[in-house]
Amino acid sequence: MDLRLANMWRLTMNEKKFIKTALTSGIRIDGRNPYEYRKLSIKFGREDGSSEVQLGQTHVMGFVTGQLVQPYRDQANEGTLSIYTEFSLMANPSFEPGRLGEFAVELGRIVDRGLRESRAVDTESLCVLAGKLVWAILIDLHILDNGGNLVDAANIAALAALLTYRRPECSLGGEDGLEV
Amino acid sequence: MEVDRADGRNPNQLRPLACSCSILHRAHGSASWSQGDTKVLAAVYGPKAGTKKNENPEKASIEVIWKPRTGQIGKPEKEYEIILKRTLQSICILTINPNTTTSVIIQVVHDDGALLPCAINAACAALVDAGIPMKHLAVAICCCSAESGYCILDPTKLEEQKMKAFAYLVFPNSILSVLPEGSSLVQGEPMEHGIITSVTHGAMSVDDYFHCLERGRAASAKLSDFLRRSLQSKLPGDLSKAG
Repeated sequence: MDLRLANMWRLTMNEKKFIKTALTSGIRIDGRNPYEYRKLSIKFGREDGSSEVQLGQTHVMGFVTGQLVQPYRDQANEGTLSIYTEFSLMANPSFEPGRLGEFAVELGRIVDRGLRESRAVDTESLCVLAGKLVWAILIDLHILDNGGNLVDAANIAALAALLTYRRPECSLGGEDGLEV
Repeated sequence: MEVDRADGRNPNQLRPLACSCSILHRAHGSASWSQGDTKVLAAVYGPKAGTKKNENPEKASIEVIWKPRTGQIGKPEKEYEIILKRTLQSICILTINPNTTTSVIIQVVHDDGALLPCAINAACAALVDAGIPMKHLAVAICCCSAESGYCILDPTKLEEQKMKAFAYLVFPNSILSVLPEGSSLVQGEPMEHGIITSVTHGAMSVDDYFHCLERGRAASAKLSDFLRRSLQSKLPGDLSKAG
């Protein structure tokens, strides 16, 4: 095992210079063309709403769950969508557990904006009882391995998980909502 | 006593096991362990400089982070972290790298019963993959005890919820000895007869508990074999793998 301790790894000046000079002449360190993508593989888990995306060495897992909650006052007939990204030590040895770094928040926001602005999820269909009960969809993104380009991988994982998610059936009985 | 289990196994039968190592590239060691539908991913980061405030700086310390499938980290996760930490501390050789912290991160992929044993097995395989020095390996198993006193091994989530009580037991790996005398003796008894960790939920009588212990120990031999085979298959060519 290497003598370098896990939290002291830094990119050397030589390595940085090499990567920059190689890029200016159009060579990437793993031999790809500037516009070439790494191999993408999407796998689905046993349950609805779980996906695992591998983009080269980057590994991201997405899980989708839904809960019945009270809606916001100003959006009484729309459901909510929220993303929870957690960077753990698993992906990168420099992450501290418990503290949400800037990049994690930014990544969560990018995925959130992408799904929300493009209306990928029809929030009005998530309404059960206007003003009282709506579905709140929570997407958990677990970054397992950071091999670069987390934004793409996280977006694909979130979408893939949403595609396989099936909302539980619920029917209204009398005045209360009953879940089936 | 015959009992019908939902998936047709008999009381002593374990679910199909699968283990794969070195699946993550950034982590120093990683392993994924699945027992039937329960799947856990473990990653290990090798010694980092420095220990936390309330740890003993004369020894290496192990830090465990348990990440549930969905939701925030709460009390059950903290409990699992502590149990896992104590178990791993007793099998790793802590005096080799003093004043360092080794981090073990557990990610639950799917939970279908016997989650903690699955995590312990995965953590053990990941530690071997990372090359952390250990005294011996550990195998973990879950035994449930039902109303009428019979006990079943490796329950699924439904079975776990129906049972009166269940216990997670961790045994040391059975030793494959090259010496003709057999396994080393610790205080006059062979080492396989020891137990590392035992966590019980629910109420069971003392006899039931000992019964579970016996059954668990017998099954741990099968688990040890499986662990040994899956780890051995990656030994020969991997000597050049640096941290």
